[in-house]
Order: sequence, then C-alpha cells, then structure tokens
Amino acid sequence: MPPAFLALFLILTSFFLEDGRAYSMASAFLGYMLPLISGILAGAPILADPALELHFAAPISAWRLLAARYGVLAAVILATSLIFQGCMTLMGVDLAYLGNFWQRQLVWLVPSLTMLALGCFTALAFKQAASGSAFTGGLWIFQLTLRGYLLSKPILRDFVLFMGASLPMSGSMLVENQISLTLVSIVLIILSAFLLKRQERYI
Amino acid sequence: MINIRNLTKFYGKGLHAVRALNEVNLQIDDGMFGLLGPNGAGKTTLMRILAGIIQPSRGQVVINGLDLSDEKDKQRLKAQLGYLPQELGLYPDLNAREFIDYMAILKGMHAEAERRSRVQEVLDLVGLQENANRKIGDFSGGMKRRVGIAQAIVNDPSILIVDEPTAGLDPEERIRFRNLLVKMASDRVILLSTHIVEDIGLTSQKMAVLSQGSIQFEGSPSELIKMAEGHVWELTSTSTEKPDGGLTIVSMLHQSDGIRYRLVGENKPAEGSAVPVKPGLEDGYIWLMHKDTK
Repeated sequence: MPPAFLALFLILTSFFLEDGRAYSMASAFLGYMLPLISGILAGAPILADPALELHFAAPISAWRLLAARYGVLAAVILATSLIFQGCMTLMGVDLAYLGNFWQRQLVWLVPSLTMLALGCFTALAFKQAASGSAFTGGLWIFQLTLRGYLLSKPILRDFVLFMGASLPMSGSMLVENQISLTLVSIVLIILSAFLLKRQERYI
Repeated sequence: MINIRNLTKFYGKGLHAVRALNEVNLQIDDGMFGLLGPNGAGKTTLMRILAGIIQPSRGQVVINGLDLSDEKDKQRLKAQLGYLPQELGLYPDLNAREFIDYMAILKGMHAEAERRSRVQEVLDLVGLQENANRKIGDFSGGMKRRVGIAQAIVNDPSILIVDEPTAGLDPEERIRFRNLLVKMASDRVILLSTHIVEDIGLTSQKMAVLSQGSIQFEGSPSELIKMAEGHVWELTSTSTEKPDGGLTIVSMLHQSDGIRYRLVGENKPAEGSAVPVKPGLEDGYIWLMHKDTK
C-alpha cells in the first residue's frame, strides 16, 4: 500500500510541476496521506497474524511484540516519507514552506504516530483488525471535513491531525498540537500493551 | 513434571459464564501423556492454560517447579516449552527453514550458528530436509503439521504440548507423526491432546479422559480397557433394526450373513447370538463416556 500511494503521488506531483502547485501535492502526501496509510495498516500487524497463537506461547512480552510489529510498520512509513522527500528534491519541489528539515519531519511523523497508535488500540479493543482501519479512516474523513472548524477552536485544534500541513510554521500553536498528539499516542500505546497482555481475547 | 490443582476456567461473566474446566487435578510425569475427550470437552482450554496463553479462573499449575500464576515464572517456562496448537497458523510466503528460524529467534535462540545448526537438525528429524527451502504455502496438510512440530521442538523443550496433532492427516502421516512423538518422549514430558482413541493407545503409557470440563478417568490405557471388561459384546443380526437395550454401538460391519455389531453396555443384548468379547481402548472409552448416562 505505501509504495502504491508513493508512486501515485509522485505521478500527480509531476503533473503540477509547471504551474507551481506541486508543493501542495507534496504536503498533501506528507501531512494527510501518510497518517491515513498508517491508520489503515495499524490494525493488521498483530490481529491479522496467522501465527499469533505461536507468538503468545513464545517467551516474549506484550511490549516486545508491539515494538517488533509496529517498529516494522513505522520503518516502512519512514522509508516511504524519506523516499518521497528525496524525489521531491530531485524534481525541484521546494518543501521549505513546511519548515526546516526537522520541522518537516514532524509534519508527517506526529499525525502518523497518532493514527498508528489509534488504529492499533481500536483494533485490539474491538478484537478485529478491520476496526482499526475503519475507525482511523472515519476519523480522517471527519477531521478533513471539519478541519476549518476544528482549527478555529482553541482546545479542539490541539487534536487536529493535519495542523502541520494546514498551518505550517504556526509557531507555538503547532508545537502545542504536536505535543498533544504525541501524548495521546503514548497513552494509546500503553493501553494497547495492557490489552495485548490479555492474550485470550485474541485467539 | 506438571502439577495441576483444582484448575477451573470460565469463559464470560455472570449469567452468561461458561465453565470450560471444572476442578481439574492432574499430575503428569516425564514421558508421553495422552489427554482424550470429545470435541468441546475442554482439552484445548487446558492446553492453552498449560502453554501460558490463557489465564485460569481458579486453581494452580506448577510446571518443573515454575508457577504459572507468576509472570516471571511464566516467561521462564515459555522458554522451555514447545507448543503445537490445534489450529496451526503459518506464514505461507516463508519457506520451512525461514519459519523455523524465525520461531527459534522468538524463543530466545540468538546465537546464529547454533540456531542454524539446530534448525537443520529439526528439519532432518521431521523429514523436511528435502523441502526446507520450499514455501510453506505449497505444502500439504501433513507437511505443515511437520513444520508445526519442528517449530515446537526447535528449542529442545522439556515440556511439549501438542493439541490434536493428527487431525486431518492421512494414515501414513499419522503413523509417522505418532512415531516421532514417541521417539521424543524418552527425555521430556509430552502432552498429547486428541479425540482419536487410537493415537493414545499407540503412544501413551498414562492418560486421562476429559469430558465436560472434568477429569473422568486418570490412569493407564490398560486400566481403561479393564473397566470395560464384561461390557462388550459382538452379535450378528440379519434384522435391519438396531439392537436395543441401552447399548452403544461401537462399530457396524456389513457381512454376507448380516450385520456384525460391536456393542458396549451394562447388560448383555437380548439377542441370543451375542457373545462377550475382549475390550479394546475404544470400548473402554465408550464405556466410560456412556456408563453413567444409561
């Protein structure tokens, strides 16, 4: 899935190179599509594993299982993002409006982590890989539709997934948003590990 | 050694709770131990508790001195455990060698040279050396079971738990599988759960029968056979009517002179031609399962 979307957005971006709108396609991929891909894939690493019962019988903790499975998924998302940014540089698309190199990484990394944690948690909570994809997909559509409204409300904007791509360089407001989303992710990961300790729910 | 005391397991809560195991007590020593019972008896629940996958509602399990209720003990136990689940899930895109190697890493075998050598050893042991580099997705059911047993023994476990390992195998595969288990039973505990009576009779010195979550019998296969002595008959009948009298039909064989029935029950069949016969393990099992319901 990530390579397919990567290829699609590289092609789409190339169409907009002439009229100067390529940067908006690039930010759409980084700030919107990568979090969506992360969320959709987040239910599968554990619950879609055919050998899950064998893993549960092995001497590995719930934390280690989570780290191993989601580490691989995070690495795929990271590689997709870096390849895309590398291609943008080669195509001459300037991504500087998203901030310096590190700020640019936070634009996709923070919401992707949140969607990953949310997809993992909902899948484990509902004991179904598809629940994670459905919930994160629904949230993505909801936030995309109400983005303007959510960004205008002081508390709600801290939980908007796309602030980095929608309002880049918005200073402390963006930092607050990224800290809030990171905290949410940490809480969801901790809850996911506790859920995963109750192995009999998943066999 | 496995020591199980007052083990009880409920699924669900409140009024909807289902009792899968009811005050199970067992002591299992080294060698092959067979656990027999009908489908839904609670065998898989017991196997999963012993493998540290699910938590009992009540009771205690101590394996080789390690208490399963203690999380650290449980992890230590899992390192010396081999487990073959009833529904074996494998990765179809990996080959047999890769899959077993992956499972060996999960079981804490991190020294690469030693691990590779052990993987080759278990591939040879289960007879998969010729197919070690073929994708598991292309394997037959029997070959997949062999991959399953290979992953279970790759860490040279002192406790091997195999749940319905011969279900779905052809006769030749079943024989091969049983022989493999017996060969390994000399220096470890092997707990074989099955609903196939023949598998127990041909492999286990000790056995238990589990039904509706409770242990109905614990002893040797010969003791179970002895219980049915005087309760097994054969008769040949030309009538299409089945023999009555509260007897359980163990087998029916169509012959030139009529149908030959093998029957188990409290009293001799009314038909005069019925003759008492020496019971087998299947008769003992049927007698045990039906004697209280007649």
